[in-house]
Amino acid sequence: MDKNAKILIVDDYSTMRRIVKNLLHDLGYANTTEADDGRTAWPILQAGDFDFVVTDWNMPGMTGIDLLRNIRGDARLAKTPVLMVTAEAQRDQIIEAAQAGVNGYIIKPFTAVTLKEKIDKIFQRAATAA
Amino acid sequence: MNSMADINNKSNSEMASRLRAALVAIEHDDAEALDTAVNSILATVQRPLAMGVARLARDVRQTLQELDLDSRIVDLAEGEIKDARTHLDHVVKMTEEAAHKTLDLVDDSRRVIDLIAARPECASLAEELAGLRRNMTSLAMAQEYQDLTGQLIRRVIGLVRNVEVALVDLVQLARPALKDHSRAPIPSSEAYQPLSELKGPAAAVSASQSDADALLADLGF
Repeated sequence: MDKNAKILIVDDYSTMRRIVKNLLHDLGYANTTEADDGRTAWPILQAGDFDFVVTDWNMPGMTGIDLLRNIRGDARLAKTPVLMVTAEAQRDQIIEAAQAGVNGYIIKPFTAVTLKEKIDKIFQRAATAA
Repeated sequence: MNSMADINNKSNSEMASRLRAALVAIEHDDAEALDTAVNSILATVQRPLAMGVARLARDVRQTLQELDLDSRIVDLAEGEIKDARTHLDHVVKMTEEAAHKTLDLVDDSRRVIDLIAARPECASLAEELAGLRRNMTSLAMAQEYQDLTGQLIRRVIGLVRNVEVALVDLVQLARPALKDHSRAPIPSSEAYQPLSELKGPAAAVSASQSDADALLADLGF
């Protein structure tokens, strides 16, 4: 994936958004935008050409799983890769996210290595599919 | 002496006469009379239940009064429980501020590390500087605790709020029996809010990252 990839980070905790943003910057992805829940993320996604979305699950307003479903249900955004970074670690939830069309699932607390692995894998697949 | 038996006999004969009235109304196709008869039968049947509920409410009020629970519950609901929520909210805010302060310092330290690393005379320190930079990343990652503890604390805040709502409702039920009428009325309670169905962090039977990876691999990811 192009290092200029436009990435949207969605999390209701400002500390977590900052941590993810810093990690992405360390990996060379500097073109990031932040939103504090699905509801604020949605118009941002609609307005801009985002290449990738990193989202939390449990957020007020609109949850990450609903945001994911909205993305998959929107003709223009449907193919945008979505990485879920969440403290929700129940088997049923992971299956639910998979069925909703998530591209990667990271359980908090996570490490920089895990984030890099998942992003590399997602971008690799996107490149193969293209 | 046999007053209970008298009452029973009386209510039985009353019921019999109401049933007879209903039967006559049906036979005469008199809808209005049937309506009256059925209503009076229903009232007879429902009266013991209504009386039971009223007696229960009276007993609760009396007990609250006798044990002086009314003022204690009011204090608890209006004071201590509300304070507990405020304190927990404050903890979330304090940890958030502390985490941001740490992240500010990490950002600044990284900038300094990059400045030093760019100097030719510091080339021999490249390895140490790279190690220092990795430490900064770990330090930033450690601030994840703020999100995870924050989520847990918010769940507890929700639970405490619902206890508060239940207590305020109980106090309002017992309000007529309150001795201290000078006390300001309790503001109408916030609505009970069901806790999120999401499990959140730190559930004992949750999957690890490798469990999640294996599960997703099984699902074809």
